[in-house]
Amino acid sequence: MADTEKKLKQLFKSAPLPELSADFTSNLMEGIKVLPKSKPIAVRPLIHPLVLWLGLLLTIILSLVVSIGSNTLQIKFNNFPTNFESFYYLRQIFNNYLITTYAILILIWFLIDYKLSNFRKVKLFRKNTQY
Amino acid sequence: MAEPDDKIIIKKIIAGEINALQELINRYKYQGFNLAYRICRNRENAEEILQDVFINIYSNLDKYNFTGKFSTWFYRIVYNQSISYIRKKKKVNFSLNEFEDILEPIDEEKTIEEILVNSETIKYLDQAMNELSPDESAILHLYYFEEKKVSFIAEITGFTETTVKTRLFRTRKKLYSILKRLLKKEFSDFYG
Repeated sequence: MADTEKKLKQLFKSAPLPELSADFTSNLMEGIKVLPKSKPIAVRPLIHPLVLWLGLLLTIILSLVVSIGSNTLQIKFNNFPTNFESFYYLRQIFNNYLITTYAILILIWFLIDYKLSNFRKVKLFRKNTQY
Repeated sequence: MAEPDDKIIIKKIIAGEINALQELINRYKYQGFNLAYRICRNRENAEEILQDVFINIYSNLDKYNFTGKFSTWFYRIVYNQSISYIRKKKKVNFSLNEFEDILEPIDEEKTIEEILVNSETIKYLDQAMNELSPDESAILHLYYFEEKKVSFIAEITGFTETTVKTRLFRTRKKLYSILKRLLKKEFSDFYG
């Protein structure tokens, strides 16, 4: 069987195939040079979206930890107003400002990325089967 | 000096180096042409398909993810483009089953051996390949001429590896039958 396979390969290799035109490359290059340049080659997104989502998740977890931690410490060290004050502010920062800032940053990033890399367009029109 | 990797060439093309595109075309044009020819059975059409393939590749290079091999991507585009082309032209509209009925079944190793050692076989291979369906022709070409693995062919054609193996087996048998018929015809024509 292996011998038959070998012979078949030899047969295919020795069978004549038509020649490609000698000026194929030059003609094609000429054609490509005059192609309309309206379609820019898209750039890939700078940061993978997963990194941003993981960042957001981490921020939420961190804010929860700080929030719960500060509440616990608030109860535990109720007699120590200094400690309580510092944790209170920390909790405020995480809860009120950090997540909001992060959300705004993601929004800005999406807008910039959409403009810069045409990312959304590439994703929408990508066909898995052909290319 | 070793030739630069395909991925390096592609990066150069994306950066705007037009000479790199020429290098890529020269590197793959023969493989692409042979496969397109095997599917569409016409030299001019194969050239037209190949031109479209390279233009498509140039316009869609951003969609190439640098993780996979460029050659696989290239073959897949040639295969898809050729199949689409013939579907549009509707020049080739027969299937394997249509031919199976008129072909004599052959199983004996001896007959296969006779066909393979016959010097006239080379002359009739092209003709026999034209009687196969485009898919079968492409699979045989990739396996025997390009010497690609079954997994590679499966990736290009979109069939499973088992389907490729089955088709290879059936097409091989079909090819032997066609060759046998053509050789027999030649023999009877020659001796009256």
